[in-house]
Order: sequence, then structure tokens, then C-alpha cells
Amino acid sequence: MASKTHVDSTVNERRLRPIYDWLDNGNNKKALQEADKVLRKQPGNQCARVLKALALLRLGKEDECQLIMDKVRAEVPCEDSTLQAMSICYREIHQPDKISEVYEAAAKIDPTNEELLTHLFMSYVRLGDFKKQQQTALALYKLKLKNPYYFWAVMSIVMQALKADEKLAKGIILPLAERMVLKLVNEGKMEAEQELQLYLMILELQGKDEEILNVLSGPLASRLSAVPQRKASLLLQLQRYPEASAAFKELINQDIDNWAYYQDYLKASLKHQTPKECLDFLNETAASTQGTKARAPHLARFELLVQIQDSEEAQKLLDPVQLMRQYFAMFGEKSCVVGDLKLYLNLLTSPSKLNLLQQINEDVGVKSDEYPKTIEQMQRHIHMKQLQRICGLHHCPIADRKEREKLAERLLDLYDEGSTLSPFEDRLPTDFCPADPYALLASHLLHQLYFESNDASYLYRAMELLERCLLSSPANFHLKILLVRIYLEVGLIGGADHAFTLLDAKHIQLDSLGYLHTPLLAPLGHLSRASATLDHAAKFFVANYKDSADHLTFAYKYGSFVKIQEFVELRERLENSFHFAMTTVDKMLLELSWCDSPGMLFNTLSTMRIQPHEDSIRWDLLRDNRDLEVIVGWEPLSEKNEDLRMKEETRECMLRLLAARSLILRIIAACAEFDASAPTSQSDSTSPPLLARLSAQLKQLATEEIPATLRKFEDPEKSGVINYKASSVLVPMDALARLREAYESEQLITVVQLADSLTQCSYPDVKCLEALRSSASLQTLHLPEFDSPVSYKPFLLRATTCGETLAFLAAMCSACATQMQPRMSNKKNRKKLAGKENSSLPSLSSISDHLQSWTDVGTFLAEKAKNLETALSGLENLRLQTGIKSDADTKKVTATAIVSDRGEASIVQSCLVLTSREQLTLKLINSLRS
Amino acid sequence: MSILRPFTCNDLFRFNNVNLDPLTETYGLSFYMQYLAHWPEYFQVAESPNGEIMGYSTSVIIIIIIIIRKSILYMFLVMGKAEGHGENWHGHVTALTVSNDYRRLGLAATLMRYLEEVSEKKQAYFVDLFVRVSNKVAIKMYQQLGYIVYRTVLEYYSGDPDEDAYDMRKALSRDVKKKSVIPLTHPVRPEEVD
Repeated sequence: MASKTHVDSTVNERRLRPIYDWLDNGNNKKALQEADKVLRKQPGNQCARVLKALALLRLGKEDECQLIMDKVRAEVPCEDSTLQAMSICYREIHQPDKISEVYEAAAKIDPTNEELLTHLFMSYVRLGDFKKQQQTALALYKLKLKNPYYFWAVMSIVMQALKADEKLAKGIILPLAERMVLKLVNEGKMEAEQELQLYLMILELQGKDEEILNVLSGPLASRLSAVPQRKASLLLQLQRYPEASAAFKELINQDIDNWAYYQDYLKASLKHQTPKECLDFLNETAASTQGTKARAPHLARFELLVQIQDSEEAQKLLDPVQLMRQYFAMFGEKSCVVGDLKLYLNLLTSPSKLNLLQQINEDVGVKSDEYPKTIEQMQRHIHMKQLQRICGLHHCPIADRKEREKLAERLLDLYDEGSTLSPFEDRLPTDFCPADPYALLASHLLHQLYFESNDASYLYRAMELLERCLLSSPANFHLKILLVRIYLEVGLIGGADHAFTLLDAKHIQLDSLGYLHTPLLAPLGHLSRASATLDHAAKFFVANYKDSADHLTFAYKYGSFVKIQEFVELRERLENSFHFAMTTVDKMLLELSWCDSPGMLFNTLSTMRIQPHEDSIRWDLLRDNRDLEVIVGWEPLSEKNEDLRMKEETRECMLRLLAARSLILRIIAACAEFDASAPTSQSDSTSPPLLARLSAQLKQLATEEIPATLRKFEDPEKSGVINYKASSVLVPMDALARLREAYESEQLITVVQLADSLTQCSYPDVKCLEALRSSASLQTLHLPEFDSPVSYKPFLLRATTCGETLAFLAAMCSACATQMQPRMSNKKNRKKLAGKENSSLPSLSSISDHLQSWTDVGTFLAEKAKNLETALSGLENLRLQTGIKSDADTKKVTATAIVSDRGEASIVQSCLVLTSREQLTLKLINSLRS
Repeated sequence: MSILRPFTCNDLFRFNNVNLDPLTETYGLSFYMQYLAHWPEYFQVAESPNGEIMGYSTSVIIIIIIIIRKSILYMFLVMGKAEGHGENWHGHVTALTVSNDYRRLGLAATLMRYLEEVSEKKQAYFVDLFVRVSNKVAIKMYQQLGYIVYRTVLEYYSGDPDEDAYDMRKALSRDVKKKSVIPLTHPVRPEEVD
């Protein structure tokens, strides 16, 4: 019997093998044919049927797939390969709960099958059903007394505790988990390090520090790594300071450059020793590291000063200026010196900061009209320059605009001279040019100067400079990031896109770095590129959501209990990413704006499956995953500890923008719903129609919340003008720019007006047409000047808004008009409908009103579309003015040409794509008139 | 100088200042997750003081990913049954990368030492790593740390053109006779590498 099943399964495997191979190769058609071949011989073969379903799914035939899967599921398959294939299929069709169901059913029939139960456990892990995980793990342990199963159960309990409220967690759940582990401890059955770590985690969650210390001092500790470190930290936590400081001293002696030990050493020893005693130890340690690269003992002296800052003794003990000068003398040529000292510069008063910089300047030995002579000297000089910027030497009140201009010139010269010290040919292509930081500093200054003067030639100079640097330092990503920022500022999105492509950002970077340029691709006119980029990002998020469940199962499989909670958090962080939510909404709006006929509009809407009735975004869970620190800036130290990159403020902008755009999406979808614009029913007038509700929400957003958010960025003295801080932020202010545009163009209010009119009388009335006529979102701005360097950003932003608004309005109108048509033209239909909802049916006299108003609005929108087209054609033959004087230096000429070419190509592309969208919209509008 | 601590999932969002360097590859999430799940202790980050104290700052993370290669991992999981092959049991450095701003501070050496310690603890016979033959700086550094070129792997790195790799090794204390570091005299193809 046993051997027969064995033969069966090998025969089966041989027959199925080609199907698997085709599926693996991505040839789903062949897989389908092969599966059909097997099924002709064995029509009942469950596995072959499931594989056929999988092939169908991958060919886009979801319904057929579902049909087969339902049938196989009803037969309660128990065979491993069938179940595994079903798991894959359900995962791809986003029904992980079905995986649990099929394994549950199978396990009921074959309850002693270890493998089935393991799969069942993992299917619960995918669902995050901790209770059922626990039960299944215990069932497994009963079946086979293996430690991993037992600890799966314990971990499942801990996960329940993490999700429960604290009282329940600490009172009942965690003690249960602890008792379970203690049982094995007492029986001497603990095996792996991970099991012990789980034990410690349970104790930690309950705050049982003493118990942890006991474990770390007991016989079990031999299985753990990093015991001395953990013990030392615990002693500190338990406020056993003398022991803690002795423990950290010991750790420092073994690993003299580990910064974490010094911090904790100081925390502990200052509680029971004098600063002098601590300093003696640090001095001793520092002396023993003479001639090595160890920075920690030196830096620890600054940390000591911070800790005792307010005491009188601090003054007597150490002179921070002298100490910092020494530190610079030791580590001045390493880039880390800037970040290290920046941490402690606030120990100094403003005059002593200047004093320190003065002394460092003398030590570096480059006079204000000289240039560094060696690379090493140049590195010191660069780090000094960076410290100067951090100390406010590039900003008001120390430097005025004139001074900044001089500084920028000097830095440009320093770059030119410095880059000759390390020519491109002498370096590996992957090495940065050591003079690059001069150019970065100069670019920051030019960027500042632009905001002060509104003269775009500063930005063109910065672009030329950065492009030139990139030619000889192609690996330097700082240059690319800054280029993205500055190209965006002048509205040359093509240049920004090119620079961003050079960064080669992928996978998780699409989330953490996507903010650098993706949100502005469409608003600055590169619609097709935006579409591709948004698609790419969305694919990452969707794929990851599928995969992240697998990652969790790995963590259980390998017993890495410490990582499980982290994995769950990562899953949530990506799932609720702001960028993901914004990408999804932007992508859908972009697609909708491309529709050229009512048919296409309805098709597009139906494939998107928008539910206008429900808000699908979980607002309270949204996560901001932007990595704002990737941009180097050396911004001046702020005393109030304010965030110069405005993470919180810009997050709020993202929130408002997302709210506004997802409402627009829902409004368009609501227009296409049969009865969304009509009152729900005459008798039940308590709940207003959906469209009215959405429109009211958007109105509130546009008139209350958004202005309040924008005010935070405004100059308190000049309303409507962005304040200095916000305009000089290094991080791309995409959300702010877009939100301002939506607000200033009155795009949102325009959508609200049409939606209201459609709610009230099912067609755009006279009042509505009046309002549309005056909307700024439907007029373009004046063409930018042609004879001087300018930023094209305002013009392009508005041109895009204009085209987008036209598309949105046309979509809303044509959705509503299409709804009305069958009611009005088809007599049979009308009778049927009349019986159903007689009250909402328009009277015959109003029908002609209807037809007239659709024609009117169509004519009006068509006229606006033509205007947009004319305005865009005005930029067609543009020659970009960079304002850069021609130069003998060939590199400068090349770089200037790069900027001009990229810029012109970018503008041409923006105009081209915006015009072609306008033409599609025009077709949709024309269908309104006929 | 740095703080050495285990890599966490949140670091995936902040490792850009290291990963934007052209020599450092950014892999799909599954790559990092699998290794975090298998060997969390092998996956370390060195963090500079400003990252730790300020909570935000430029250039904070320097990352090392020290990982045991898959095939070897498999051996470990079934080690009870496969003791005969024990002498091949080793630690493998999959990626080691230091942010541009934190080079020439001895950080790579610290991280390599850490890996060797973990591998000693796991009773491995040797540690190995692959490096581009053109990466002179890295090769010299590994040599200073006691690694020797064990063999050349032909066209290991795909690109235009493909590039050879050196397989460099250092014996650990368990390999008493230092059998693992007797160099091969002939180069091998990538498919011959286990």
C-alpha cells in the first residue's frame, strides 16, 4: 500500500513537472496547455486543476481561476503539493484567509500530520491570528515534543500581549508566557539562544530587571552572546551606579573605540564620582590610544562637559575651545570631524564659536586669497568651511547678501583650484572628487541667493556647477540629489528626473527617496513619465505586501523571535506609507484625466474599483517614511532645536494634499454612480446625497484646513509669501508646492462648485457656469520671459492644473450626462424608471434645460481647452536662457550645454504631453455637446 | 569610532547615505529579511554619535551585512547528519560597506573582527569573502587583516565586461592545520563555487 502511493506520487510528480517548469519560466499559456493535457488523462487530478487555475490567474482570468479553486476546495484536498499550489494561488489572488481554511479542513481529516499542522500554523502567521497560532503550535507540540513548536506557542502568546492593553498584558498574558518558559527552564530543556532571548524579552516586557540580571548571571548565560554588555546596561537601569560604571570601564578597556560604552559610562559614573575622576579615566584612555584612529575617548570629554554643563566645575575642568581645536588638529582631514563637533558646538557661546573657527583657520593655514596645496590640507579646509556654515557664517546677521555672493565666488574658485589637486584620471571612477564639497557649499549659497533676489540666474549657475562636478565625479550622489532639488526649483522636471535616475534608487528606496522627485513629475507636466514611475512604485508596495507575510514565516521557522515584532512593524510601515497612498491616488487621477470618451471613462472607473461611499485610507495609521537626512546641508545650528527640514510641517501638507485628491477621486466616482447625485429618496431626506457629502468635505478642506496649514509656512508680515525658513529648506517641498497650487488656483473650490450644482439640479446651472468662468484653475499664467533666466515652475504648475481641472470637470459632467441620457431618451426605460423613482425623474420641460446646459458647459470647457493649447504652444520654440557667460573653459561650456539641452527638452516634453492630454479632454468635452 | 548594534528593519529606511554609493547594491526586501530572520546577530550596523544623540543628522549609518551564504546555511541546519563535511563550515561575508564620509577610520576592520568573533563562536573553520579583482584598496585592507587570495573566480561579477573575483580567506582557530587557506593554483568558474 505504502509503496503504491509512493509510485503514484512519483508518477504524478513526473506528469506535473512540465507545468511547474512553465509556470516558473513565466510561460503561463504553455502551463495551461500542459495542465489541460494532464487533465485529459486524469480529469480529477486536484493538483493539476489547481495549477491550471494558477495559470489562468496569471493570464488575467481571475473568475475562471476562482471557479476551479472553489470546486477543488469543496473536495477537501489533503495532499501536500495540491495544498501548496493552492496556497500560492490564494496568495496571488489576495485571499490569505482561504489558505488557512483549506489547511484547517485538511488537518481535520488528517489530524496527526505534522506537516499539515506546520502549514496551518504558518497560514495563521500570514493572517496575524495569534490565538489560532498558539492553539496550532500547542497541537504540534503535543504531536511531537520539539522545542521550536513550544516556543512558537510562547511567541504567539507574546504577540497577543503586544496587541492587548497593558493591564491585560502584564496581569495575565505575559505571566502565562513566563510560566510556560520557566517550565522548560526548570526541566533543563532550553536549547537555542533564541529561546533564551525570548525568555529575556518576556521578562523585559514585564519590567523584571532583577530577574533578567539573575538569568544573565546564571548558568544559562553561557548560551547567550553579548552578556557583559547586557549586564552593564541593566546595572545602569537598576541604578546600581558603581557596579555599572565598573562594568562599562571594563568594556571600554576591551573595546576602546566603542562610543556607546562611553555614554553609558558617563551616565553611571557621574552619579557617584566627581567629574574630575571621570575626566582622569578619559584622559588615561585617550593617552593610551595616542597615534591610533580612536576618536571615542576624545569625544567623550565633550560629552562629559555636556553632562556637567551647568556646574561651576565645568569651567575649571576643561576649556572646550582648546579641546575642540585639538580635536580638529587630530581628525581634521576626516569628514566625520564635522558631524562630531557639530554635536557639541552648542557648548560654546557665539563669540567663542568664532574664536574657535579663527584658531582652526590659523591651524589649517590657507589665507583668504590662497588655495590649499595638498589634498590633506584641502580636506581640513573644507571641513572648516562646513563648520563655518554650521556656525552661521553664511547667514544673517553675520553675513549679508553681498557677503554671501562673495562667499559663493570664493567657493567656486576653491572648487576649480581644488579639483586640479586630484584629477579625474588619478581616481577610481567610484571615488568622489575631494573638492566636491566646495561645490556643494557654493550651490547651497546660490540657492539661498535665489530666494533672496528671485533671480533665477543663481539657480542656473548652480546647475551648471553641479553638472560640471558630476562630469568628473560621477559617483557623488550628493551632487545628484542637489541637482534634483534645483532643477525642480526652475521647473525643469526632465533634468530632475535624469538626475534622480542616476541615483539608481530601487526597492525600498522607492519609498524612502521617492519624495525627491516623484510627486512633482505630473504637476510639472511629464505625465507619461509620472505614470510609469507611479506604476513602478505601486508595484513595489503591492509585491511587498505579499512577500512580507512570507518574511514573518521565516522568522518563526528560524526561531528569530526578537525580530518578529519588528517584521510586523515593517509590514505596517510599508502598508501605510504616505508615499504609497499618495502614489495610488495620483496614479488613478492621472489615468482618469486621460479619458477621451464616456465609455473609456466608465471602463477606467470600473477597473479601479473605487468605493466612493467609503474612505479607504486609514488616516490615523499613515506613516511618513521619507529619509530627509540623506541630503547634506550643514544648516546653521538652531538653538531652539527646531527641525530645519520641517518634517512635521511638510507631513501635514502631504496629509491635506492626500485628503483633497482622494476626495476629488471619490467625487468623480460618485458622479458615475447611478443615484449618487440624486437625493437618496424623497421621504428619507435625513442623509444628504453622497455627492453633496463629499463636496461638503472638500469645501471644508479647501476653505478651512488647507489655509490653516499653509499659513504655517507664510511670512507673518507678508501674507501669501512663503517665509524664509520654508523657502530655503533643502528638502524638496513638493507637498507644499502642490498644496499651494491647489489652493491658489482654486482648483478644489471649482470642483466643489460643479459637484454642488450637479447635486442640486443634476446639471451645471447658470450660477455654476458663472463660477467656472472666473476660476483661476482654468486660466494659464502669463508666459515666462524669454530673454532672461527664469523659473518655469509657476507657469508649468498652473498649466498642468488647468489641464487637470478641465479633465476632472469634463469627467464629472460626462459621467452625469451619460447617466441622464438613458432616462431621457429611452422611452421604455423611462417608464420602468418612472415606476421606480418617479420623483427624481426630470419633467419634460427641464429636459430641454438639461440639454442646453450640457451644451453650454461643453462649449465653455472647449474654449478653455483651446486657450490652454495656445498658451502651451507659446513655449514651443523656446531657447532657454541660462545667463551663464561664455567661457574658455571647455568643461564649463559642456556643462552649460547640458543644462540648456536638458532644460529645453524638458519644457518641450511638458508642453507636448500637456497638449496631447488637452486634446483627449477636448474629445470628451465634445461628446458632451453632441 | 562607532556604535555597533544589530541591524533593524527601520534602518532600511535610513541606509541611503551608504547605499547610494555605486559600489553598494540595494537588494529587494526579501534579501534583507531572509538574513534578518536567519542570522540576526550577523547583521550589524555601525552608527556614528550624531545619529544616536541627535536623532537626526547627516550621514549617520555605516552598514555592514555579514551573512552566511545559503548553501552553507543549509549544512548548518542539518549539521547533525552531515558532520563529515564539517571542514567546509565557514562564515561568509556577503557585503561590507562603509559610507564615504566614514572611510579610513578603521571601521571595516572593526566590523570584520566582529564577524570573525561570531564565526569563532559558531565554531567555523574559516571566513571567506569575494572581492572584485580591481578593488585594490579593499584587497590590500583584507590582506592587512590576515586574509589571503585563496582562488580566482572567473567572471563572477556580471557587467560589461564581466569581472573576476578573488575568493579571499582567513583560517579560524578550529582549523588547526590551516588546511582551508592553501591557495588553489588554478582559477574556477562561478558554477564550481559552492
